Amino acid sequence: MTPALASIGITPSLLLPLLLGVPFVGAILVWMLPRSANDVEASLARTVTIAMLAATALLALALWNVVPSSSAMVDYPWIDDFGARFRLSANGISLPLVLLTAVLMLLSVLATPRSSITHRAASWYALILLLTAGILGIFLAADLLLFYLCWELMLVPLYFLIGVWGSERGASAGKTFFVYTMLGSLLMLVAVITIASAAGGTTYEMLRDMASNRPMGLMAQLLCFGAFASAFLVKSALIPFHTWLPDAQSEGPPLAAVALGIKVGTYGLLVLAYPLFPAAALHPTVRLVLASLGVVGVLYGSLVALVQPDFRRVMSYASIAHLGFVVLGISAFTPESVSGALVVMVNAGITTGGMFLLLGMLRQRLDDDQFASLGGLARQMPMFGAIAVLFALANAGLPGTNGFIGEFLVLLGAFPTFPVLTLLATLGVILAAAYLLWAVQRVLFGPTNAANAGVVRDLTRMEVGVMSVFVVAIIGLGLYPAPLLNRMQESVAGIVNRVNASSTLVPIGVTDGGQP
Amino acid sequence: MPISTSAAQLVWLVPALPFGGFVVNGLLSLIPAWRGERAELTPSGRRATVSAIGVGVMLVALALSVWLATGIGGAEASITSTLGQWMTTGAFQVDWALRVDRLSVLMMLVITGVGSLIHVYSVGYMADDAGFARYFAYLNLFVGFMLMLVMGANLPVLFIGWEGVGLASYLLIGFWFGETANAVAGKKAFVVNRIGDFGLLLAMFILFTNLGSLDFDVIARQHSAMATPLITAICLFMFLGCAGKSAQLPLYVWLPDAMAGPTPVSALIHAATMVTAGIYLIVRNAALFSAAPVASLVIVLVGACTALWAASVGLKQWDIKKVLAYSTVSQLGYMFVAVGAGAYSAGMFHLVTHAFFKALLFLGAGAVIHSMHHAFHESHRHDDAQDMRNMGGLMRRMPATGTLMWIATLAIAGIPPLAGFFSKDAILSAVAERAIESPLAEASLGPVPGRVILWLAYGIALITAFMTAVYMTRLMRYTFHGRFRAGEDVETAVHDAPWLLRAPLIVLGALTLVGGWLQLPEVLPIGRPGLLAEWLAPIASASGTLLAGTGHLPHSTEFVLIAIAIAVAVGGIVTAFILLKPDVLTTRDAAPAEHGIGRILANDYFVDTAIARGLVAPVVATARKVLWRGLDLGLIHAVVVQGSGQVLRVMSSIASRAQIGFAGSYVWAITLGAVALVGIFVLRAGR
Repeated sequence: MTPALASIGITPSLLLPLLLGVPFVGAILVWMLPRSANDVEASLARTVTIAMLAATALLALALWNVVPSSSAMVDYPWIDDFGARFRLSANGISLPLVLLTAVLMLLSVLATPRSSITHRAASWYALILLLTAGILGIFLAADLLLFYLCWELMLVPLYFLIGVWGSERGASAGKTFFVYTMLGSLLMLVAVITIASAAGGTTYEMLRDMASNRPMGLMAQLLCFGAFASAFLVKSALIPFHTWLPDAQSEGPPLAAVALGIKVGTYGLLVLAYPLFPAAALHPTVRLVLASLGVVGVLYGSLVALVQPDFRRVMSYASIAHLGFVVLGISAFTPESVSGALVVMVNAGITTGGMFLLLGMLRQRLDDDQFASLGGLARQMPMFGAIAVLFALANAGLPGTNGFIGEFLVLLGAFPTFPVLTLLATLGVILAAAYLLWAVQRVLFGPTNAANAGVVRDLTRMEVGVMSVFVVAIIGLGLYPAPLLNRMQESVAGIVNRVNASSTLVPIGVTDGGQP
Repeated sequence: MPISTSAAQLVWLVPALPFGGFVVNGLLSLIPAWRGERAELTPSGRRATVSAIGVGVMLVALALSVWLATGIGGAEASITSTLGQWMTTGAFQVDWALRVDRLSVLMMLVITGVGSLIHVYSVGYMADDAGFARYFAYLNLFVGFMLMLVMGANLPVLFIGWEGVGLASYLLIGFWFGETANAVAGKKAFVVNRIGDFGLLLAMFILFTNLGSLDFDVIARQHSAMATPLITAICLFMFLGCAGKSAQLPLYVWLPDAMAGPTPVSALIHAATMVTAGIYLIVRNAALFSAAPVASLVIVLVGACTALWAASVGLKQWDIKKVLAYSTVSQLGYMFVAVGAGAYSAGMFHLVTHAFFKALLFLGAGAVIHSMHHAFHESHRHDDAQDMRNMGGLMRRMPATGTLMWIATLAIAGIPPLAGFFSKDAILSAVAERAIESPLAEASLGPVPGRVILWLAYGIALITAFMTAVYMTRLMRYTFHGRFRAGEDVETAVHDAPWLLRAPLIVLGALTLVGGWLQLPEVLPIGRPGLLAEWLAPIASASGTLLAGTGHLPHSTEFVLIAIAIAVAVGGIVTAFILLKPDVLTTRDAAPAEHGIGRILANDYFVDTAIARGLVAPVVATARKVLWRGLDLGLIHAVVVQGSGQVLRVMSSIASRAQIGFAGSYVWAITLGAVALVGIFVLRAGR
């Protein structure tokens, strides 16, 4: 496929800018649509948005196929004063997340019926496109300033999506989300400025060059790593910075919950914080602290998920638990555990994202979706039930689904480094079965709640169509993850080797940068 | 053409067929339901299609297994069929690899053979059920995963089947999901199984860390590179997995509840699939377990305790299926005693014979329940169709079922020349032999010598055999003899099993009669001895001698052991006939409450209550009150959101102390200013 696409001029240097440009330009277009008759405007905005997102998804798919096994890059001059360049790249780590983002955003829009957006439809769709551009930019940026810009670009649309189109409590949930992540990203800004001034520029290349040839002192590395890691881990909702997530995912629209499930934070941790501050990242204490936080996240998230009053909050805490696996995998930093962590990140989008969309479909049918008012829905909604059970099982890491691959590789890869912590994290596997199956039981099984008898209808064709993509992905990746694992292999090995090699390069006793 | 070439290309079909049946029947169930078709009105033509697919894939899989068995019995030691890569990353590689050797093919024959009979039976048993297609989909899924379990050439592929049967049992136990209790029982099965899976996962992690591979071949060949304590740890973690799947103390609690599903499902879980997985796993890794005598002694001890525990509870159960469920737990304990003692082929022998007579017992009980249910229904009564107190004298109404169940009862009690006698005797004499002299007897578990544990296990096994004879005779007498207790109008409505149900029972009855010939003891001059041991020799015997040594019992001793075993079995049956008074029994509704030891046994030593109150409730309460309400909604939210001013002050003091030469403190100042602004914004927003 690669030569065929390349021969007709479809190359990374074309696709990379387009991937960012299409949703961004789309956002502007939709924003400028005439705002007269509400219905017409809404359908037009929706159509344009779907077209733009479909194009983005196709571009991402093409990019997956044309990027060689290592990576591809485009480079334009940007802000010379800071040494910043408009540089985009894609490699085995970012490609799966790019494709995931593009497809997820498309499916989320398709899964949200037009009728559910009752006010300011054009803004809703424009913000979605802007959000898509922001997330893609995070994954595609090869320049720290550009990365930071996209990081903030993601924050703002999400804040509005949650605050304006969420439930009555959405505004407050959006605010909490904004404050948490803003605090984190300001910390990161300090570190960005610190490291940029030390490196004399902001492209990843220059920064990595500094990390391996002119490493900063250990103390500086630790501080900068701490700043980056806080920003990334707050954004990923790691214990104890997680309390914003359940509110945001459950009070915001399902689409926002899906977007929040795209793991930009741990991506940043892996491709920025680790390579740029290797001595800090692989410092034994730091590793132990991170790994412990991950394991605490697994157990704490699972236990709290047990006692949530509705399925959406169960899923939020489940994703907090899954994040624990990611952090454990990254901090163990073996090729297996890092690959596993990346698979868990992709799964978080597929399985948790799919579940949030599915629960959104339920919410449209029933205003009250607390466990206490549900039960026996499998009889009225057999298709919904079958898909919900599959999603729950994939979330619980059943072998044969995608969920197993990620968790298994993380635990297997982390065991030699952290045997006791891995043992504790494996207990999360038991708890996951408990909280997910209990949730499934209270929604689907038992006697039908009298208030819902005969009222709820099963999924529509459109909804089944959207869900079938998730179903295929869950089983496909579970049975044959090779395309994903092979795609990641070289980039993961590269980053693991590079960080390991440069982690020992610390000018002992010197706290500022430069030569020892 | 040598069988291996053509067979290797077809091996994948054996598990793929039932999976295919699952997909087709699953869609035949789901799509009409989605379109709003009422399941009760399913056209009979579609039911015929569903049964044809469900049973058909099983029969083809059985035929393939038989064909593979003939090939394996010939020159081929094993066939490994690699279908492609599954997980490959870094130094880790696992392929989609299936392995057919003498052990897996034996399991395949049991699974597809007994499984096919249960499928045929189900066509009749579930004929009136609205979820007919869904039922057959799940049943096929169960078999598919079980085949995957025994055919996987490495631990992760086995693990797919391992967790998969957990899933299938979850779906089937909770098949009638409208009753919350059934759904709860299904969930319990899955979660308790997961506790065991935790152990198996850890065993895999340790193995990979030390051997770099999870292939059974590599494990068998290279395990000696590991130190004995490490092997012991691996074996104990694996055994935790076995205890979950094969219902041993303390993880057996899911199995008695598993009878919430349709009765043929119980037969499938208890006989052909699922619970035998733990025995299989140990025999598959015999090389590993025989290198860990301490772990082996633990298995003997746990198996013996489980056998006794469950048999004692079986003495006081009234639900006909619960008696059989505890009986399964107890008999599995027997098998673990055998494989723990390194008598791998004896353990497999009992697995096979138990599959025959336990499937017969469950399907027979199903016929009784089916018939009782219809009788109560016709008489417009809602009595419990499974409680033996509501039965009695059914031999008159259901002679065929009763006779066949008596055969199975005598077999499980250990009466010669039925299958159970031979397999039980094989275990008992193997344990006695090892207790008298073997490397295992010389080993010790903590301060306790292996010899003591083995003699203890032998004694417990005899007591259990006695109890088994008692509770099974009790079941038969209360169900089939004496007077019918639920009223004459009901009695006349009870009919013997129709032919669709009866035919599988007859086949199983025949297997129960002759199954013992698979492995005759050497001392009895009635046929060629030790066929099964010979069959399994390439897999089990070399490892077995590591624990057992090579010694044989003198014939005189063996005759004594056999005599003791028979005396115990007969004694149990006679005792039950003397002590039990079916004629003074009242129906369930009129029965007085139990007291004393009877009450404790009837409630399974109150284990479920203890777990619910001592483990589940505290965990949930802690999660709710301490972690969620206290920490999450309370402390963390309060600290982060309301106490952000405090945080800022701490951060600024850190910043001022740390010297970051090149960055300059103005950056921190700007940032902290911005943070403070955001903080003010939040506080004013008045959360």
